[in-house]
Order: sequence, then structure tokens, then C-alpha cells
Amino acid sequence: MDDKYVIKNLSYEDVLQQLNNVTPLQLSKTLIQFELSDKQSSSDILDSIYKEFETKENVINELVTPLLLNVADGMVRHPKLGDIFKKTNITPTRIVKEVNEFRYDVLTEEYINDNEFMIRAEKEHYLRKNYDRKARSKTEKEKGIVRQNKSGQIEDAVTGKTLQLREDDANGDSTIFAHMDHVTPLKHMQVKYRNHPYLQRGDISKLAGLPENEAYINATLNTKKGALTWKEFIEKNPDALPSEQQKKVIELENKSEKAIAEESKKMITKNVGLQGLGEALILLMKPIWFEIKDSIQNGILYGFDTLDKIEAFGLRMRRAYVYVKENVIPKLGDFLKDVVANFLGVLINSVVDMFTGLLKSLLSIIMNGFLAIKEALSILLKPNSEMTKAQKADAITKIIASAVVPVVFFAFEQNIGKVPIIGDVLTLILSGLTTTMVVWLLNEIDIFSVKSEKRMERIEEIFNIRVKTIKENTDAFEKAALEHLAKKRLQFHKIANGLQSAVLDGSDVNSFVYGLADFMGIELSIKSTNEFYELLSQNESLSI
Amino acid sequence: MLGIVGWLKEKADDIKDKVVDCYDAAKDKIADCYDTVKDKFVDGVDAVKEHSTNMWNGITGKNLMEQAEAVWDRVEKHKIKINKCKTEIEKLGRVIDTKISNINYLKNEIYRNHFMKFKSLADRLHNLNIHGQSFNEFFDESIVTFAYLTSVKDKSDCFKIDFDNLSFSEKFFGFLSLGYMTRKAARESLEEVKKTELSLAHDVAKIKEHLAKVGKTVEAISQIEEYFSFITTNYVKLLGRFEYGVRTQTYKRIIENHVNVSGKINFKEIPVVHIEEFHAIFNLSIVLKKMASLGYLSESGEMLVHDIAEYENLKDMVSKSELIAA
Repeated sequence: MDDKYVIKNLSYEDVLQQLNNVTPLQLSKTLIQFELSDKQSSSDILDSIYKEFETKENVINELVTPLLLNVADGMVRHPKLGDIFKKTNITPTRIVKEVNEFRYDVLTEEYINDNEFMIRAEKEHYLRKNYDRKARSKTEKEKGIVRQNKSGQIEDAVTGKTLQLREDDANGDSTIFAHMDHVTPLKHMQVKYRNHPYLQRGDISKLAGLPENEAYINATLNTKKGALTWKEFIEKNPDALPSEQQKKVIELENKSEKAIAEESKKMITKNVGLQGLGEALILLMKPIWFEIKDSIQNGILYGFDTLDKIEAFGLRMRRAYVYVKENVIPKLGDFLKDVVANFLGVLINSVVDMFTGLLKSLLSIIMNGFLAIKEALSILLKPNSEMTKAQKADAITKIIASAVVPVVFFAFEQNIGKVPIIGDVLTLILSGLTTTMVVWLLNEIDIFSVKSEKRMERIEEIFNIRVKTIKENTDAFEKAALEHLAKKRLQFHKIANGLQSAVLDGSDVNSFVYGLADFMGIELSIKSTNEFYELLSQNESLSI
Repeated sequence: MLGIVGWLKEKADDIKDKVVDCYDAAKDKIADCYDTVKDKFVDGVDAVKEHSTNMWNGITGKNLMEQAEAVWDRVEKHKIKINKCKTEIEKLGRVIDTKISNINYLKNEIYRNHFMKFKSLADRLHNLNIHGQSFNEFFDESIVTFAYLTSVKDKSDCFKIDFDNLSFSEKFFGFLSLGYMTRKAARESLEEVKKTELSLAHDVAKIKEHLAKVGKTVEAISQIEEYFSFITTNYVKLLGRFEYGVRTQTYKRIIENHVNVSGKINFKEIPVVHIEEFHAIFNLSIVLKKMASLGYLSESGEMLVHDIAEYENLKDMVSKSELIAA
């Protein structure tokens, strides 16, 4: 047995010897402080043993966060959903952190936009290819250009001349060779919107590609214009264009600016709105995920008065729903309110459905999914050195999800309908939650409990030995203390009686006083009356 | 703005209606599921139960629960023992408290009373100073309280499943999982109860140990009390003898007109017996001083400094006009 649990065995002789080594005046203190066992309480010992046995019991807890991370990751990287989350500051890590920290009594209100950094960063440097993303063919289509054998013509937006799209057709004359010019230059837009928090690089390139911003002018002029706006160009080169052409380009520029302004407004609103939607999705997930996590870690009945697990689950979902309805939805803008409220209803309903489906088909899941479960089990039991928690969660999610979830998925497929974006999010969330629930259910039916019997054996062994030792030590103590106290009592009475008689009958008491001091273990420096005389003679005053 | 919002709003309206239906449907579905399964399976459960109780107990884990019940009886017994010991320890604590107070009183008397008297008598013969500290002991209750008790669990905390009152979902889960879930609950209950019983048995052993120590300490403190009481009584008696001696010698000198300039009697001129008494009391004072300075239970207390100096006593004697005899 480990040293730390062992209590030293004390014999009757040991105790007696210890007591004999102290004076009668120190006896009471010695007795009350006597060490017959150690200072470990029952709960200290249990905690210590459980730590020794820290094994797969924690596997469920350890899986919860990685599973959530999986779901969050899937959500954020989903090809169809990529856009929603890209335009928000929601990262998988942030989702996991916030959802994990969720408590019903704590209402945090942070809508920190820390993605500004990212949005700005990507607009920091101007690289033409990042902004000029619209295909020329599209532009040509918009302008009504039809190519025949690669040749095509277009009217010069400034001069009015006919321009050739194919360089060879221009015969070296750059005044009739067509260039596609961005009225408001790309670089100019990059600089202008560089610090805008709600316009991303992709948005800017879209703005640059608006039909009003694209104009075909001749190559000579375009080269001259360079990266300037028309207004800047005229200022720099007041004589380069005749006045009607000047008027024309200014008109072009005004049109472009107007179109860009309008379109950018729409984009900004949408980005803000979508950001809100992303936030709202997370807010929804928090209480629902909390309920799932809480069920796994503390048992589904924890905190509720019922002993019926199905009822408890329903109560949990209701609690989450009420929370969102009362605390989250009122805070959203009107537009989002409706969307989220409906989304929520569908989500809750689907989760409930999924749960009932799961229960109903539990047996078939076990039988059909048995191989998958076996595989999952063997993965779970691998030491963390071979496979990290995250890897385990990943592997298990895949195995169980592919083998087991189809059995249940049908239930909520019907509820989602064919709603894009929201439907996909729902699917993702639910698949992650389903997997978690299956893992939880498997734990409930005891597949994962390992070594609990071994641990119980150890607890019994340690406690039994300790109890026996303590009992034996206590007995030894009582026997020895009893004897010692009796002996001392007898000794004292002998001296005391002698002293008392001497005092009463007037004889010399000194020998008894010495006996008493001796008994008490007190040192008297004056050993005889003669010495006392000397003391008196030599000292003006006595001191005690 | 219009594009996305409008489109979403449209869809939202569609869903809204569906959702309301869905929600109600969901509620009904659960209730249905409940009922259907109830009908199908509860009959099955009861049927199996009838045919083979032992197998049923084994499958469900009921036998484990029966073991747990037996262990729980021991738990209850432990609880009783512990409470008894606690009460006893508290009682002894109060006894110790009283005794400590008494000892404190006796300690103080030594300085206030006995040493003062000794000093006033001794001064007739020789200058005497007594410096000392008496230790006024506080009764520290933590000495006697027992600190290690495991928090006592209720039966319901340990027993995670009640086979006599299985809820519907327990039967449902139990049957579907081929008894896995109920066995697990039963095993956990047994484990929980065993842990509780062992913890409490450990507590019983510890509290009994503590009780033994407190009990013997009471006896030891009683002894100390007796030491104080006895020694001070005899000290006083001895002082009486000494006083008688000193007085007699004083009167003798007055009659013989032998008053010393310093007001003291020359100790070389008085009978040995009185010096012997002086000597004895001197030694006993040392013993008492030592005893008064000690704590007998813990370090908890305060030191009271006593300084019985010469001139104060002289003042005292003058006011009592003992120097000037009639």
C-alpha cells in the first residue's frame, strides 16, 4: 500500500514511553496533542484515490469541447455559409469560448467588432489583381458588345469614335484601340475605403465592376489618365481634352460616383445585418449547447425536480427557448427578430424530434451501429499520446455520424424544408448535437465505464486498514494513559501527604519541597539550608 | 437592403406557420411516443418480471440494490455512533473549560495574594523581589472539536434508482438497453453507498480516537487542578507558621529594645527553624511561579506580568502601620 495512506502503528509501550518523557505539568498538553493517526479526513483520502484513477470516466467531459469546436468549425467553413461568417467576426474558437462560458444568470452584452483588423488588413496594399476581378466578357456583354472572330467594336465613351476591341484591327492607331477603363480608378477606391469597417475587399471589387464604373475609351487617353480620376486628370492636364469632352467625362464620373455610393450603402447595410445574424446564431446556440453540455456533465436530471429523463429533456429545451425568447430576441432589430424567432422555433422543434427519434430507435442504433460504436470505443481508449483529444473527437464524430445519424436524420430533414442558408446552418448544428447526444447515450448505457470496480477495491482496502490501525492505536493510548495517570497520582499523593503532615506538625518541610519540585521537574538551585544562608549573606536582596 | 431582407421575410412567414404546427405536433409526438411505447413495452416488462424474478434482478441490477440496502443499514449505525461521540466530546469540553478557569483563578491568587503576603513577611528579614508572569489560559474550543467529519449524505443522494418505484422512462430505457442503464445505476448506487459507509467508518474510528484523547486530558487537567489547590493551601499554611515566627521575633526585639536601623531583623540572629521555613517557602515560591507561568492545554492565552517590587510593599506596610508596633 502507498505510504501516504499508512498510519503508523503505536504499541502500548510506545505510548507509555512517550508519556514517561514528559513532566506532570506537560502531561495534559501532551495527551490532547497525541498523534494516533494522521490529519487526513475521509474525503481527503477519497479525492486522492480518485485522482489516482483518473481515467476514461472523464472521456465524456473531455470530448465535449472538441465536439463543439467541430460543429463551430463546420459552421464557419461551410462553403455555402462561408460568406455569412466571413463578414462577421465569428471564428470557431470564439464560438466555442462563448458557448462554453455561457451561464443562465450571466448576461453578457459584448458585440465587439474585432474583425475590423482583418477587414482592414486585406485592404492595406493595392494589388490590381485583387480588385480587378470582374471578367471582361461580362463587361462586354453588359455593354452590348458582340464579338465576331475576336473582333468587336464599341463607341468611345469620351470621343464618340468607334473603337476596335482587337488590337490588330486598330492597325497601330492607339486612338481607336479600345481599353476598358474604371471611371473611378481601382487604386482610388482602395485608398478611399481602406479603413471602412463594413466594406471588404470583395465588396470593393464589386463596386469597381459596376457598369456605371466601366467605360471603354481609347488607349491613348487611358494611358494618359492612368490611375487618376477624371477630375484629377483635368486639373493636371487642363488642355488635354476639348471642353465638351471634359463635360462628358465629368458626367461619366458623377454617374459612377452616384452608382458606387448607392451600391456601397446597400452592401454596408447587408454586412451590418449579416453580422447581426451571425451574432444572433451564436446567441441561439449558447443556451441550447449549455443544456446539452450540462446533461452530459451533470446528468440530464440535474437541477430539475423530476426523475423522468424525457420530461427533464423537455424542460431543458423549454428553458433554453424561454431564455432566448426573453433575453435575446427583444434585443434584436425588427428585421432579425422575425428571422431568428422562426429559426429558433424550428431548431428547438428539430432537436426535440431528434431526441425522441433517438430514443425510439435506440435499440436499432445499437444493433445497426454496433460496429461503428466498437470502433469509436477503441479510439476513445487510445492513450492521449497516440491521438489527441481533438483527433479523437474528430474520428468519433465521423464514425458515429456516418453510421448512426442517418437512422435519425430523417426526423428533422422534414422540418428544415428547403430553406437555404438557415437550413444548412440548422443541419450542421443538429448533426453536431446528434453526435454528442449519441455519445452521451452510449455513456449512459455503460459502455464507457472502466475500472470503477478496481477503484472500489482500492478504496475498501485503504479504508479498512486505516480504521483497524486507528482502533489499535486508540486502545494502546487509553491503556497507557490510564496507567501513567494512575502512577502519577499515586506519586503525588505520597509526597503531598508527607508535606502536609510536616507543615502541620511543625517539622522541616524542605525535603518534601525538594521531592515536590523533583516530581514536577522543576529545578531548584539552592540545595540546602546552608546554601540558603549563604545566599542571604551574599545578596542585598533576593529575587524570585 | 430590399433584396435579402424581403426574401428572408417571405421565407420567415412561411416557416412561421409551419413552425407553430410543428411545435404542437412535436408536443403531441412526444406524448404519443410516450403512450405507444408505454403500452408496448410495459406489458413486456411486466411479463418478463413475472416469469423470472432472479434473472430479472440480475439483468436489471436489482440484486445489487439489495446489497446496497444492507450496507446502508451500517451507514445509519455509524451516524448514530458519531453523534453520540460528538455530544460526549462537547460535554467534556465544558468540563475542561471550567477547570481551566479555576486554574487561572488559582494562578492569579498566587501573585495577588500569596506572593504579596510572602513578600511582606520576608521583608522583615531580607529584601525580596518577585518578578513573574502568570499565564492566563484561554480555553480554545478548537482543541476539543472534531474537525474531520464527512458531510452526511441522504439515502436519495446515493440510491440512484429505486426498483420498487421505477419511473416510466427508467423502465423504458432499462428494457431497451437490455438492462444496461438500470444495471449501471444500480452499480453506481452500490458504489456510492459503499463509499459512504467506509468514509463514516473511518470517521467513527477518528472521533473515537479524539474522544479518548479528550477524556484522558480531562483527567490530566483535574490532576493539575489538584496540584495547584494542594500546594497553595499548604503554602498558605506554611506562611502562617513563618508569620508566627517572624512576629514572635519582632516582639522579642522590641521588648529587648533591639530595633534595627534598617527595620529588619538580622537573619543570623533568629532560630534556624525560621530560616528553614523561609527557605522552604522560597523554594515553594519558585515552584508556584513556574506552575503559574505554564499553559496546560494550548498556547492560547495571555501573559500577565507581575512585578512585586520592594518599595511598594514598604508603602503598604507603613499604611498598615505594621512597622511600628504597639
